Amino acid sequence: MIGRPTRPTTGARATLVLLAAMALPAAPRAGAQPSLEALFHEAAEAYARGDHDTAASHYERLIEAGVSDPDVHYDLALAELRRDRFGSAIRHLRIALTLRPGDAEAEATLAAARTALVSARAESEGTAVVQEGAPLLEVLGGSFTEPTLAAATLLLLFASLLALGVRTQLRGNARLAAGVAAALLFPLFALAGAGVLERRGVFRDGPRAVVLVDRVALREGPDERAQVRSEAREGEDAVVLGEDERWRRVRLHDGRQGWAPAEAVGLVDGG
Amino acid sequence: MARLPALALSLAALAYLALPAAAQPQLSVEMTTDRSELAVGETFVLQVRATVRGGRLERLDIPELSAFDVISQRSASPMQFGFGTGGAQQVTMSQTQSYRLRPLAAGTFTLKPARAVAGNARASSQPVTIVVTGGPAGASPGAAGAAPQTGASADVAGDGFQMDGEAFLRTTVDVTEPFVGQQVTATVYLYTRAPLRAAPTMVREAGVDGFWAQDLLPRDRSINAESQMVQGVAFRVYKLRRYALFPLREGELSVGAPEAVFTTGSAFGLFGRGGGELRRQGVPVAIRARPLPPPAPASAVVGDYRLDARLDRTAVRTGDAVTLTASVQARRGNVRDVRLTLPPIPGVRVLEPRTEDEIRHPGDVVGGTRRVEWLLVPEQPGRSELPRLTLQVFDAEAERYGEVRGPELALDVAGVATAPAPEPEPQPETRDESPAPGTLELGPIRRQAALTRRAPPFSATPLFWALLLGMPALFALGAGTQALRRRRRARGAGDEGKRVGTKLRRARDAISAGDARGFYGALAGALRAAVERSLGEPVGALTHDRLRAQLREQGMEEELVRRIIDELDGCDFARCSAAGGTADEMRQALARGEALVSRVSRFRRGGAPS
Repeated sequence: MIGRPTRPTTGARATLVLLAAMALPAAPRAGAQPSLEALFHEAAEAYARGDHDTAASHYERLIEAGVSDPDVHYDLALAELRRDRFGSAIRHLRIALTLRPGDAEAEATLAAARTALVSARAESEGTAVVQEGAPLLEVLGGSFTEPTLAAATLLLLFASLLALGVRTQLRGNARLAAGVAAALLFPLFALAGAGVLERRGVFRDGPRAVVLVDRVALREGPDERAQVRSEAREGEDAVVLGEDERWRRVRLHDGRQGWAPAEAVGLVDGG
Repeated sequence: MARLPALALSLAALAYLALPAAAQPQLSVEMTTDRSELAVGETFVLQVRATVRGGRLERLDIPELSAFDVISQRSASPMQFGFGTGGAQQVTMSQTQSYRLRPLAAGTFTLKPARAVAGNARASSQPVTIVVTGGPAGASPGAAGAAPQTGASADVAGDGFQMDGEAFLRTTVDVTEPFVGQQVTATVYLYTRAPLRAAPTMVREAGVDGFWAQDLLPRDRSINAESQMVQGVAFRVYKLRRYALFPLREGELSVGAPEAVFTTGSAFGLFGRGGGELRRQGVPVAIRARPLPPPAPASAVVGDYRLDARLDRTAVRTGDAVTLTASVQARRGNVRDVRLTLPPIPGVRVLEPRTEDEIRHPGDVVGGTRRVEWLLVPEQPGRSELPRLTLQVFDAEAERYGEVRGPELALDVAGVATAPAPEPEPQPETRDESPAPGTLELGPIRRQAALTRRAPPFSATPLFWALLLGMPALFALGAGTQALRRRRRARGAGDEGKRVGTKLRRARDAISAGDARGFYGALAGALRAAVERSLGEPVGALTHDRLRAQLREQGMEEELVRRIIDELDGCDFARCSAAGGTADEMRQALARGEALVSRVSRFRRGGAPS
């Protein structure tokens, strides 16, 4: 049975007119600016045809538009590897792993990228040494994301306090069991909390970063004329200790420090 | 039907009239010279003429003239109009290019055909062959005789000029057969009869292709004239340019002919002779650069050099960079030609060097300093002997080689290794399993993504912190409340304890007074007060059975429960008995009651008695 269409009321008509008026100015913008999904699709298509420059450009536009998706960073890393930009690829793979820890595919690609970097460097220079493995604190959080760890922290805290509270109301073995549970839950809470703090970078002196260019001089100060202290190589992990306009003061994994041009050091955290 | 032949005739007439317009243009090209054989330094005229009829000349390509110095060039494009058959206008257009050329070296030169394009028509000329015989450079017929003498004539080995009665340019070089890398000093003079009215303009600098050139005259300078007689004529001589030239390759080279525009004579033309704006072109000077005599060491430089080197620090830790600075000082020579190489140093990473040059030319002899800085990054602890820097030097005057060496340097490195020590040669059975560059195997890209936007982490939100801090706060509040309640209960228990003590004291007093009823009442009251203190609740209204059940519920031992109930039953019985009890019985009952009170006092609700 089909009902008769009802005529919209005056209020409904006014609402429709208002919605149409709001949609009108938005329509041309939507036409001029491709949606994030369309951009992602175009990037994938460009990658498939072998146009890795275009693919990387599209993925970068997505990230500039505020997308912080591990899959986008992973795809961009692949495009960068195709372009022999190992440092940038390592950076985006590390971001992908930060957003989604335990991503086996990303971990394997990161290892492959480092291997390829070693091979390329050894090919041109005879020998190559590349840092491998994550710092101990990064391993602390395991394969849990920051929201997961934060939720676990709250749940474990709640469970610990609950066990502690219930214990006072119980007697005999139940009281003992509640005490044991509280004793086990509190360390777990502390561990999860430490994981959250690690994800927040509390234990680091600054955001993590990766060297993007083959060689970059680490200088005494943020100036081209400053004395060169050391040199960083592409793909090396670093921590950004400070910034000054277009320079970043970095500390490498082995303790070497110095100022490098900002464009030569890509951020992993907050990048 | 009678109209058809007339129509055909009309069409044929139209086609005939249109034929000249659609016809292909007639194009011809010819290339001629006024001489086919001449000597080096002499000039000849090359003329290329393209003629097109019934079209427009689109392009005229002149053959390569790099073997000659172009002294002058002239172009002309006359047109002729005529009337061809049928009254159509015929245009004949021609273009003529004339070049005055001077061969740069002796030999037989064949000029390739000139080519022209007009519409669909293309035409080529015949090639032209010029035979150039050897002869003195610059010795033109007009300049035959003694060369002009300048202040620097003692250094003149090569000379290029073409005598002109009014003004001419002259180029001299001090060496005509230098070694590759040896300095040649070239000077460009302007000879004029009348004084210059203003600084001359160099329309074309002397060509120095094949040389590394250093200008020896200051940019801001005043031009002073010397007087000189040339073939009996007084000239004013101005030094326009002076270069130090270092041949970059062996073989025949040339200092190209300069060209200058200048104005001579006084401003009013009253006191000077002649004058006006003049334009003169010089004559190229040939130079034959010789290779360094064999056996020439690699990277040998010509001149007089010293070499020094130093480290900014001699003791460092691994990973710290030190700077090795090598300073090559040339009293005579082109320091830009110096190539210093630092051999590999075991355990030390050498970064790309930075080079700075400082050129000096006191007395028109070019020298200077080349400073090369290497950044060394020690990677292995220990003492590293740096290889001595060396420079192979060739003395062009003595025509012999020498070696300049830097000092011996050593670097003491402390700390731990920052890179693995160089490994021994790989064994044959070892196999490198790392993929070769370019063979990186990558998985497919991901075509699905949630495209999640960047958001603050959950642990940074107020909700997280509210929960994290709120839960312990609530727990602490609850625990505190409970503790407060317990304290209140404890305080109540203290009152109960006092009550127990009071009743026991009354019981003792009752024994002394022989009041059995009062004694048992006080003893039962003390027991109930003790139970109430332990249980935290009143039990006075409970029957013995109910009290028994209550005590069991609270976890009291069965034996203690039984004894409490028995004692209470005994007290009730004795209190209601007419016989009462003896003092001994009452003392025994008091002792049992005190023991029970003590045990009950240690009992805690919900647990065993402590």
